[in-house]
Order: sequence, then structure tokens, then C-alpha cells
Amino acid sequence: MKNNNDNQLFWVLVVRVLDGYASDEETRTFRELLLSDGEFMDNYMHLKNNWDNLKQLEDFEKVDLEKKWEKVSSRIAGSQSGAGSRSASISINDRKKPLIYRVLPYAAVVTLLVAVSALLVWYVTTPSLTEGHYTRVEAPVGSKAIIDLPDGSNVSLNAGSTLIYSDAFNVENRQIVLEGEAFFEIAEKDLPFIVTAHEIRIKALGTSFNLKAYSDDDYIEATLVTGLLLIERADEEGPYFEDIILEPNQKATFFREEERVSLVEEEARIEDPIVADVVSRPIVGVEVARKLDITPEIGWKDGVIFVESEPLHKLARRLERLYNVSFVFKDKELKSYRYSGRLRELTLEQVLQAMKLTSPIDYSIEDQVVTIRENPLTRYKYLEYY
Amino acid sequence: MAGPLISPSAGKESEEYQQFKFLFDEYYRPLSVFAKQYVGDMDTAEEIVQEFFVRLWESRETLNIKVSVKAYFYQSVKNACYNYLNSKHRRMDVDIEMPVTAVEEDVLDRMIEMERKEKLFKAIEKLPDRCKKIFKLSRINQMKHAEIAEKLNISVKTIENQISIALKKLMKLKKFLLVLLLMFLLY
Repeated sequence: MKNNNDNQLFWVLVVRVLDGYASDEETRTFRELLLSDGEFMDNYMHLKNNWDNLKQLEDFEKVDLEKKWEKVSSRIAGSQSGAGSRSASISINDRKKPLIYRVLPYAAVVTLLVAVSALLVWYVTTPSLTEGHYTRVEAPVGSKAIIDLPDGSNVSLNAGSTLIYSDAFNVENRQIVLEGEAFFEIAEKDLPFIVTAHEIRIKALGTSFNLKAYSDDDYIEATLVTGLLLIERADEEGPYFEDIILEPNQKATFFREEERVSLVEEEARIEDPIVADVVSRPIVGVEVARKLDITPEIGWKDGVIFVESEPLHKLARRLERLYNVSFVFKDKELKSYRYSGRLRELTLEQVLQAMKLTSPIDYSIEDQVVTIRENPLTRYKYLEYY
Repeated sequence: MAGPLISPSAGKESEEYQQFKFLFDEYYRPLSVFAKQYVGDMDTAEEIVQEFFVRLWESRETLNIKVSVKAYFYQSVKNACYNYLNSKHRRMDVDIEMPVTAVEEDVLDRMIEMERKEKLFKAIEKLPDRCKKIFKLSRINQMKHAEIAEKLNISVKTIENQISIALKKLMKLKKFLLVLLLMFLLY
């Protein structure tokens, strides 16, 4: 365990070493520091790798964005006047318009935000999280919550989900961290509304959207109902994926690196679903579904669960959160049985009973633990059909 | 609140204009640095990119982009750079309507590199003033610590301190997410 002095020493020496001012003795000390702690080594390697990039920022520095904007905007001033009448007919859902024409409006919203606020890279300037006060809203497993945020935005929080925002919310920024699933209806304001959920960050304005980002799921899903979403990486060092602009009735799915869960962690997850995963899981794939019927994605907030050819182990996770239980599978192959249907305001017993009637499974409930096993009585009946 | 972004009652002129400015603010700088890699100097590069934006505005109604908007920007600017280099009189001829159906691999690679640098640059811009000034002189302008000390009339020690503050803050970029997630455990 490294102490504070070592830490200070590291940050002093790293500058000298990288800039080439370090004496022989300092270099030796620095080397020992690196070997003493993996984090020092990580930091050093990261900085060293970026050192040359920094040199190359000279050209970025030279660009005078404001001045050049004046130049360009004065050149387009002539053609701007016609814009008003034409855009009267724009609808964001009009698929026949050229793409750029559809993209420009979305971008606009973000613009206001970006232009007005100086918070684009907010986490750099945000004081460390030990400072200031944070509000944490939780919908425990087994219940949902509806939250009116200070800025007038409205959030439905699904079971087993948590929302965190700081005192600066609605004053300096509109930044929120989500773990779990929530449906957002964002109030229109100049400050950008930014949601960070694990590996992704979403910028939104005048928008309603659903974000599903449970740490124990292998994916993160963002579904847009109205407005515009800009989705980017929350972790600059994570694997690259292009920023995504989401249009209404589209859903972006981010596939996360497979979780390597040990048995101990698996047990911990049952004990406390939120504690189990703190580790970032890099996004390994992105998929955007267009022209989607989004009802199944947002049905949960009205108490309807849509199940579409869902394997039992996935469905079980949803039921775990919803009914505050945990599932145990006596026969592993049962996990891959697929179910479809709509569950509307049913008790857990009713859900399980329905499953029992439509597939060769049996269940028992004891102390909030649902045990699923193969049903020998009905197995043959179903085997014939498979 | 919820509803289509462009509602009939909204001020359309300024909205469309704002949208365009957003794209300019996001892409002008990285596109310029990108163009410089082809044409060699920053002034020419910037002029080509300005021309690109003006043409983009003028053809906004008829444009049909088949690849991602961002990739389209980069590919178009590269094409414009080639046109410029090939033309006898070095004319700024940006052919915005030229169909870009595929994006070349090297363009994609450079695009990713530009994005990464743009984000790093923006992060530096958010540093506290003094810290930013010293950090830029040292890292971007490659000035020696002694030179900076003389120029700003401060001690070398102060410079080292400020640079290490800057580095720590920039490192947060990488670690922030993990910190936030840890918060869930602390409550």
C-alpha cells in the first residue's frame, strides 16, 4: 500500500523524468517508485504514451475558432434568409429529407448546450467527488421510483436502479450518473443534460429516452422516444466507438466485454446486486436498430413487461430486480429456454405459474429464493415438440 | 418538453443556424489539422475547411450522405485537399456533391486520431488559467522550464508543481468513471 509521500513524490518526479530534467538519483528513485506500485506504473505509461501527442497539439492551439466562425458565418449570411420558410415543413421523422438536413437539427440542440456551457469535458474540471454534496436516489430491488429533478425533468427509475447528482445540478450543470434502468423526460434548458452510465455518456435536450445500464447486464441500451441523443464514450481510454446520433424510434445497444465472474462474486451478486460489479467493462460492439417499435423498451414504466424470445437466465434477472428475489437453477440447460409474452401487473407466483404451464419447468419459492428445476412430469410432453 | 425537436412554433432561422454552428464548433479545428496533413500548411488547410463549411451550408437541402456524417466530413475534406493539390492554379474547389459512398481506411484512422487529440486539447482548455498557460508553454510550445520561469517571472519549482497538477487532472479523464462507480459502494 503506497503512502501519501510516495504519491506526492511520484507526481513531482514524473514531470522531471518526462521532461528530461531528472538527476541520476531522481531517476533511480523514480524507478523504485514505479516498481513499488502498479498504479504508478500505469500512470507513468499512460502519460509517456501521450507525451508526444501533446507536442502535436500545436496546430490545434493555432486555430482561432471564434475568428474563423465570423469569417464563415459572414460568407453564409446571404443564403441564410431563405431558411426560415423552408424549415417550416421539417419534421424530424420525415425520412425523405436528406440526411444532413435531418442531422443538423439534432446537432443544434447540443450546440446550444455546448456553446452556453463550458462543461463539455466536465469531469476534468469537476472537483473530486469527495468534495461537495451528492444526492442519491435509489429504487430498491422490488420497487420503482418517480423523481422530479430540480430542473423540472422527470425520471422513472426502474427496480434496482440508482441515480446520483451533485449540488451543482441545475446550477452549474445537469449531470447525472445512472446505474440501472430509467426513463427520462428532459425539461428544455440551456444547460446540457448529460447522463453517464458505465462506459457510455449521453447528451440530451428536450428529449425523452430510456436508458438501461445495469452493471450485471452484458449490454447497455439507449432507446430514443423524442428529440435527440448524442452518445459517446465515457471512458476516453476505452475501446473506440464512433459517437452515435440517435433519432426517435431508434435503439442503440452497446455490447460489453464478457463479464468474468468468479463463484464468490456470483454469490455476492445475489447478496447485493449493486456491489458485485465495479469494474469497467469495455464496449466491444455497437448496434443501432432503426424504425423500431419501442413499446417493449418502455413498457416497464407502466407496469408491463414485454418478453420477446428471451432466454430464461435473462428473464430471471429482470424478475429478480422486479420482485426482489434471486433465482437458482438446478438444471443449467433450463437457462437457455426462451420465452415470449407480456406480463402485466402479475404477482411473481402468477408469472412462474405461467412459465410452468408453458414449459417443462417446476419452481419453489423459499426465503426470496426461487429455485427452478426441470419438471419430470411434463418434460416428455415438451420433448416431443422440440 | 417532449416532442419533435423542430416544432412549428420554434424560431427556425436561428435554430438551423445554431445547428450549423454546432457542427462548425465540433469539427472545424480537427478538420483543419487533418487537412494540414495533406496540404502542408495550416493557412491553406483552414481555407479549404472554411470553403467546405460554406459549401455544406449552401447544399444542405440537397445533400445526401450515405456514410456517417463525421466520416463524410473527413472524406470530403480529404477529397478537397487532393483537388487543391491537383489543380493547376491551386484553386479552392470543394465539390460537396461528389458522392462519398465509402470512406478510405486511412481517413478513418486519421479521423480517430484527430478526435482523440481534439478531446485532449479540449481537456487542456478546461484547466485552471495559470496551470493551463504553464502547461501549454511547456508541452505544446516545447519551452524549457527555465525559459518559462523567465517569461512568467516565476520559479522553476512553481512550474513543476503546476505541470504536475495539470497531469493529475488530465489523468482523471481516464479514471473518472471508475471513481463514480465506486461511489455506489461508499454510501
